[in-house]
Amino acid sequence: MLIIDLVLSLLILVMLAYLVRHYAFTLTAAFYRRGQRHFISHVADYYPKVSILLPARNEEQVIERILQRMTELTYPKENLEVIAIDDGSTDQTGLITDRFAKIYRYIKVVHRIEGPHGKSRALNDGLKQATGEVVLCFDADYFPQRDIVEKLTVYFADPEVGAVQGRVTVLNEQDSLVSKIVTLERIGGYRVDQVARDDLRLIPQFGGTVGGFRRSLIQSLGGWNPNILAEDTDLTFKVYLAGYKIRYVNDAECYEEAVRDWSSYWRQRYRWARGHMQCAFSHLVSLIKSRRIGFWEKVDGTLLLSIYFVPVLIGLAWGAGVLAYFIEPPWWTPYFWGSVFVFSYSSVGNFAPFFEIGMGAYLDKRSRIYWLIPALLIAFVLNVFICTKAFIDLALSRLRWDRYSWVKTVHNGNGNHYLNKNGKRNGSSQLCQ
Amino acid sequence: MNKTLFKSILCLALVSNMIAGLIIPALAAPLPSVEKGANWLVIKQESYGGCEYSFEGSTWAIIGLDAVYRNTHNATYLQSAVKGADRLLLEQSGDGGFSSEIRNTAFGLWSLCEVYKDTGKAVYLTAASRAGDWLIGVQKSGGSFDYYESETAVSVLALTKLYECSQQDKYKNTAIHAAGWLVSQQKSDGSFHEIIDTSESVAALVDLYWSTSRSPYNNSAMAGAKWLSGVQHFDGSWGSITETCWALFALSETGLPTYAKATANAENYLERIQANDGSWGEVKYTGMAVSAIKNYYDYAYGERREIPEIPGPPILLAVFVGLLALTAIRISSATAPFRFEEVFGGGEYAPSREKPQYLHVAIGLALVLLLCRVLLYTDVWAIITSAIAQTLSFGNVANFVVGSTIVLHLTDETLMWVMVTWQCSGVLSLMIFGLISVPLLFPLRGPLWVKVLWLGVSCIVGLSWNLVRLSLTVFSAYYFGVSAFKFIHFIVGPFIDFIWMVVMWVVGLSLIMKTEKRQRKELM
Repeated sequence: MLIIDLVLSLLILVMLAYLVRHYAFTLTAAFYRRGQRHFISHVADYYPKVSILLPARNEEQVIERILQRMTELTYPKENLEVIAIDDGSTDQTGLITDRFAKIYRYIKVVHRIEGPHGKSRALNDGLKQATGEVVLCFDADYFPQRDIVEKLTVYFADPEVGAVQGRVTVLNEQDSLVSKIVTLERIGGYRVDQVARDDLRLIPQFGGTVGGFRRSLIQSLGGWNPNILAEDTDLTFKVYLAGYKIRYVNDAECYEEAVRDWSSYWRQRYRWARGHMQCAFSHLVSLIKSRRIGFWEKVDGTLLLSIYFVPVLIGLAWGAGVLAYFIEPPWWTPYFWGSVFVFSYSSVGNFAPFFEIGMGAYLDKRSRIYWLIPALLIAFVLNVFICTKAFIDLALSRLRWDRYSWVKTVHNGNGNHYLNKNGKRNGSSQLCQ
Repeated sequence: MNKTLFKSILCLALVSNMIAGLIIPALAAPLPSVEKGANWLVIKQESYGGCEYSFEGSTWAIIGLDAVYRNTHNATYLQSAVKGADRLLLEQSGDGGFSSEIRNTAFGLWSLCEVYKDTGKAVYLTAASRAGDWLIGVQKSGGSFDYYESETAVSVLALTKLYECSQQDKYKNTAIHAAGWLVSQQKSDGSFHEIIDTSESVAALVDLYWSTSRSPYNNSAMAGAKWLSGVQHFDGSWGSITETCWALFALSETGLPTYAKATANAENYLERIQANDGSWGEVKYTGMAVSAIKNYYDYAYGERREIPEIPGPPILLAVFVGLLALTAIRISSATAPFRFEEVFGGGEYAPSREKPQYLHVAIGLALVLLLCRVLLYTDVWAIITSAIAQTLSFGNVANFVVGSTIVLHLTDETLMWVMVTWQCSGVLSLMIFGLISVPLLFPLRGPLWVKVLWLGVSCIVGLSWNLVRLSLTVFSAYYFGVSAFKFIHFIVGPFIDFIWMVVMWVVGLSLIMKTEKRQRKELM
């Protein structure tokens, strides 16, 4: 009885820790004035050679717009190197990249024709060609600011910084309810979560894109791990375990094309959940044991690594609740009730509670998007199922030694419409086809 | 104060809070005053050589010892009770009665039933049945026993106990018949003549109600209980020890939280007047006090409560605040390890942070706390209860209200009491809403009146929502049974609460943003 008491109390304590964490993040992002300084990059005289990696597989709808944007970057071109990696595309992606490489000497193309494909492998091949002191990477469907490279690289002046991460905002927000929900999640995740983590010297997460590393560091870490689905989370913890820090730069914004339907949402989140859980199993013990990482970083890192298990716990709680309908509720019902209460308020949305997302929208000076916040309940319920399935599948695959095959998110270039509209309004030429 | 010291104190407070949350419920179980009384009874029995000279005293001692045995499982108490019961068997007449007196026979019967429940020995049940048959034989045609409320009440009580043990309908029917007469003697103010008569009657009617599930005498018992609580003295007693013990016994038997304060005061009073040796002066009083206090604990913390007490939220709240404080310390003690401007000089960009409106936060929190305090008054619970009862009546669900408790018969003829306690008053959801929203929303730019207006509207929405939720929960119990009630109350409830909280939070943010935009336009 005492053991069950302790387990339940521990569970509730963990959930409370998440709630307090989000609460503290929200307050920090909104009011904390002593956070880390955010430097205006172009004032600083620090322009190391930068290699930008652009992995792409069958991205003919979107690859042109990011290559076009690479040519418009304000970073000195003599210190810039863009490496487009055509990961065995069967469409026009290779041809488009070749066309750009012929015109612009700082754009190179790596064609990966044979061997297993995948983003990590493509990035590793690109890394072999990179000569820059700093390596940044962007996904093919992304659309960065013109001065984003300056904003990101200036942080490498600090010898402690091993990686940087910029902000991701959704380009095709108006497309569907799903893209709107993803927008809200992104607002909560970046405008509040990442800002607060950076301000509080915790662990800002490297998101796999719109960011980069010192080349020497990423090479010493062995590049991107192709066997882990969440290679970004994997690298985040590897950087910290190696004794470096990651900085988040909210000012360095980049558009992404968000998923538009629930099935894509499911596939993408399933991959993240499973990958994140893999990372939790790989790094949790090393994180706790590490002497290079401070106490609060360890606390934050542990919570960050375990976050995809929270929906699984909620699923278990629901299961127990349904069971209680058929049998006489046991003596611990009140504790259970209390824990469900805490679950409800700490985990709604994609692992950010409603108040955090609302505050992010407020800080972004958004006015109408608040009204969609109750719709996050749908994503919350869905995430319970996604994460539970990912957890069960991961456990089974460990038993059977199966490997999960990567399901690529399809980008159909719908975001081009918004960019073209914006271009016309500004009187500039059309950016994309 | 030194920060490390402050952190240590906070950590210590947190850990002790957690430990207290786990240990306090366990500590609540032992009943030192009762055990001391029971020990005294055992010792006294030895000195008397088996049983006391007062018959009623002996029976109360047996009843009390049995009750304490069930809680402590200390065999000494059972052995002592059995010894007393064996002595009773010797005193039983050939016709089944005890001294041919109704009151003695009823008490003898009751104590034999208690011993039978613990030992399972047929000899006690047989003796009790003989006593029951004797009682049936002396019942008057109108249902009374000797035309006295007191005799009739204790007979009903004893026969109900016998019915529980033997499951023979004749005892139940006799008890119901007697209860009918008893109710007819009730005065318009709810009493049954004196305090002892009323206490005995209430205890008997409630016990009959519990055993048969559909006694028609609930209203009468509730009215009697209400009268009893009204005549309690300021010190928690009802006059003499006998009266106090009987009244405590009866009010505890109802199990209603409405009388929680009255019974707690009475229990305190009895503990205050307990002698150092553990007794209450005489065997009879000690036996009565032990039984009454044990009954109080049984019904205050026992199994008959439909909605369990929830120790979690206060502890959770304390832990939440503690963790928040720790985080605040962490934030305040953070120092920048590296400064760009020192290396490069040049401009810097500080992200726009709002200057918090601390006064607004203080006012908002004060308002929330004030409202929560109001919701903790039992009178407010009574208002909520009557509102739910009205809603139920509109839905053709027959019910009646006692204090802050709704009593209703379910469709399967079982009985259900729904008690509106502080957990149901909406105070919990308002506290959560207040804790989440006020410190986040009130510090933002924008006029105070907009924020206060929003908070007021939110509270009204929250309380209305709470009423609707509770009514729906009770409706679900009525139509789908107790399991549905528990499922909806414990599992679905918190999720339903989520809806109004999020919506009102969104409304608040939107209002503040709009006001700010309007002000900015005016300035331009």
